[in-house]
Amino acid sequence: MKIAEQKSIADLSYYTGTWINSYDKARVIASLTITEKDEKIEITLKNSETGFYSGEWGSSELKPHAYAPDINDIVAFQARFDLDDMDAFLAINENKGLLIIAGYFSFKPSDNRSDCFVREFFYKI
Amino acid sequence: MQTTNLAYSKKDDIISEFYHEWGTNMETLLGEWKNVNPKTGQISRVEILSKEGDTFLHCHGKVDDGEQDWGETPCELFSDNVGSPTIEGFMASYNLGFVQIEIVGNIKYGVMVVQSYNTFKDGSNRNNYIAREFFCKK
Repeated sequence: MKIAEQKSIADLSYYTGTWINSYDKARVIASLTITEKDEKIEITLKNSETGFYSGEWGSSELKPHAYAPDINDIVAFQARFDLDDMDAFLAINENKGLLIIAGYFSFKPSDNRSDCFVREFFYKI
Repeated sequence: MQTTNLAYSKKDDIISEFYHEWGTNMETLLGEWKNVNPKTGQISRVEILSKEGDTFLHCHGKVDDGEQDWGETPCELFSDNVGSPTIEGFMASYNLGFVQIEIVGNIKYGVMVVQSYNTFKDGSNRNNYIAREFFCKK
């Protein structure tokens, strides 16, 4: 669903801005920024210095999701990143001011590392 | 710690390799924590204080015109097992007259999860209720 098609979306300003990982030893993502431009929502990630990935994340489009088919408020997003050495699928949901990211990381076939799952928590500044 | 002849209700009550002392992660717990939900109608802010070896919880409730100061109350600390020096959670209680509030909290990945169990004492027919909210350190 495109943002423009949403009849009554949650106030996107609630999501736009910078969110910080609550854990100072973050496993993957230190912080993220959500922006809205030309009817698209975009997420930009910043690496954690204590995490297992050291490459550049860049930005990706966020696909919004509502709580039910007949409800228009956005409560979750999904995003995908195709990086040099891994693919990342991020399932993102909000709960009482906390942004929760469940990340599914798949390494390229030539890479012996285990595909992994990481769940991290973010608060807005 | 002597582990023989201890009363227990389950085996995890008695297994311990060393005496339990608080303090390893006190610094993580102590300080001011802010509710991450700007629209909360619950506790907006908590402080965890250490005074002469005792721990206290200081809560502030969100009200229309700001915050209501609930004052300080003794705070009991818990680890995740009888031998662990790591603080895993806490428990505290407020008697505000018309309502009794039991508070339990734990910290995971930098997030303090606070649950409050609210029991009304004023005969107002309001349902007792629980709330669960998230706090990050200021």
